[in-house]
Amino acid sequence: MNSSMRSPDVWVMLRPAAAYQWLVRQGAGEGTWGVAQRPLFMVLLLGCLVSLVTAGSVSVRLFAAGAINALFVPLLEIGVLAGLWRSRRTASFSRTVDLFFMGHGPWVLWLLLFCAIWAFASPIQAFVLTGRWMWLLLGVVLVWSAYVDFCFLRYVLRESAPRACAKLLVLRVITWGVGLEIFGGGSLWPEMVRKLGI
Amino acid sequence: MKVARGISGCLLVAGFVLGTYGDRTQKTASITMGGYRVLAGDFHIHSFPLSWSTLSPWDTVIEAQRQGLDVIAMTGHNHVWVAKVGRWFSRRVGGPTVLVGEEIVGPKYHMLALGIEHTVSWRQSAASAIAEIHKQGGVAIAAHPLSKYWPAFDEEAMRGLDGAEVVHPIIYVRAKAHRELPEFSARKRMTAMGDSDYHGVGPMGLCRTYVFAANDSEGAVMEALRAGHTVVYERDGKAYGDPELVRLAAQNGLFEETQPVMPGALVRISGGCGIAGLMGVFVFGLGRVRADDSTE
Repeated sequence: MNSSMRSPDVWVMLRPAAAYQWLVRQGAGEGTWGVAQRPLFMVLLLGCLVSLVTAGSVSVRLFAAGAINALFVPLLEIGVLAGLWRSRRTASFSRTVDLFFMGHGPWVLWLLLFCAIWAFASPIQAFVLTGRWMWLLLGVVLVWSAYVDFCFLRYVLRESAPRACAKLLVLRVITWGVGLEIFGGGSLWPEMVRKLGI
Repeated sequence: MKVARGISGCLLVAGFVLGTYGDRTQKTASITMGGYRVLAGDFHIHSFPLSWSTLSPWDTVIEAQRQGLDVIAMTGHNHVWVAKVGRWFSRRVGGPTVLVGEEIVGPKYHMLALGIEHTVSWRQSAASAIAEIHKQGGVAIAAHPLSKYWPAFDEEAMRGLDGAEVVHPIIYVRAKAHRELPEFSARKRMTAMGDSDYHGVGPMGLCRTYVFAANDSEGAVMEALRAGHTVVYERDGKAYGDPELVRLAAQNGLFEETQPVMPGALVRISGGCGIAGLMGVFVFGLGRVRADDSTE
């Protein structure tokens, strides 16, 4: 029997199916802080990201600027999750939110790598590196995070595999659709016209 | 585990303390040459929201000030309202001169409309967009004119075009772009522009346009842009722009005088502490579980 202590976030990232099946049985981690800590970590990470890629350092000014603008990301995710949870109340909503945000590990790693490139490489080197390799890695993260979220829907919300796929699609379309519109809505339509050759 | 958590927290706090201490505005003396005021400008800057950028308009203005820019154009993708907020804020705080602009992002071309007040629709040809920009008293600049956009700039559009970006971060990333941007600019005599196309990553003002204007008012900057009174440098010092002004700038050592200041040790240490702290918080700071093998 190995009863070592481990980070649930890392565990979910590496073995999402096993981790979620185990974690959903525990029911621990509730309470205000327990529920808020992971969404708040996302805000902390996104605020620091803005500061690091802008200035290479973490300053209160740029952190605040980024964190305020990024606040909509976890709020949007929680909002969409609330819709999915209403029909499958397998755990309390607070626990569901906590478990969902545990699955953000692949994004955390990718964003930290992005920060590191901009913090330590020269701007030109950073443009070269992020222009090539980061897009490839982004593809990996997209697939990886989709699998993690699929496991969340399958084992936490206890959906059948086809329904988990459908709900994953709903989750992605709504959160990314709204997110992309807020972040880059000014050019989405003309870019779509260009790509589709309409 | 408490030790690891504590160290992570301390690293993050140390990063914030050092980064905030080092967050200073670059002091730049105003430059005068040949009777002109030489203004450091970046005329292709995006802000949050709607334009794939991270900083809100007021933070954009503060960051421009920190980077020692005298004039900026805020160019939202197909809208001008964010730029108007930025201009209002900059006037309030005595920040850099802000031109209201737009990057017209169409399927066939990208164009900067500088000094306008109303959105110019992307659903029209480049020539027609240029006419509309001029009607509003603005100047039309071809944004990063890569060869894929060239067909949109037909004879009529080229006649009306006021300028083109000849220096842009993309020329350092793609060799093809390094050939194409100067080639497009050489089509006719027009205002040379160097812009960073700022989307929230990297330093604002990485590529700059030096505007030779009567003063730093919006009107004087627009007049200088219309007259082609600009000088632009690649990072190795290769210059573009009005030949007389390029000579004047060379005689006065403009390129040498305006070299960007590289981030100091404080910035690097702050960045390192911040990233290590975040990684530590992610691995050690969000709780631990005791998991048995029987569960796997």
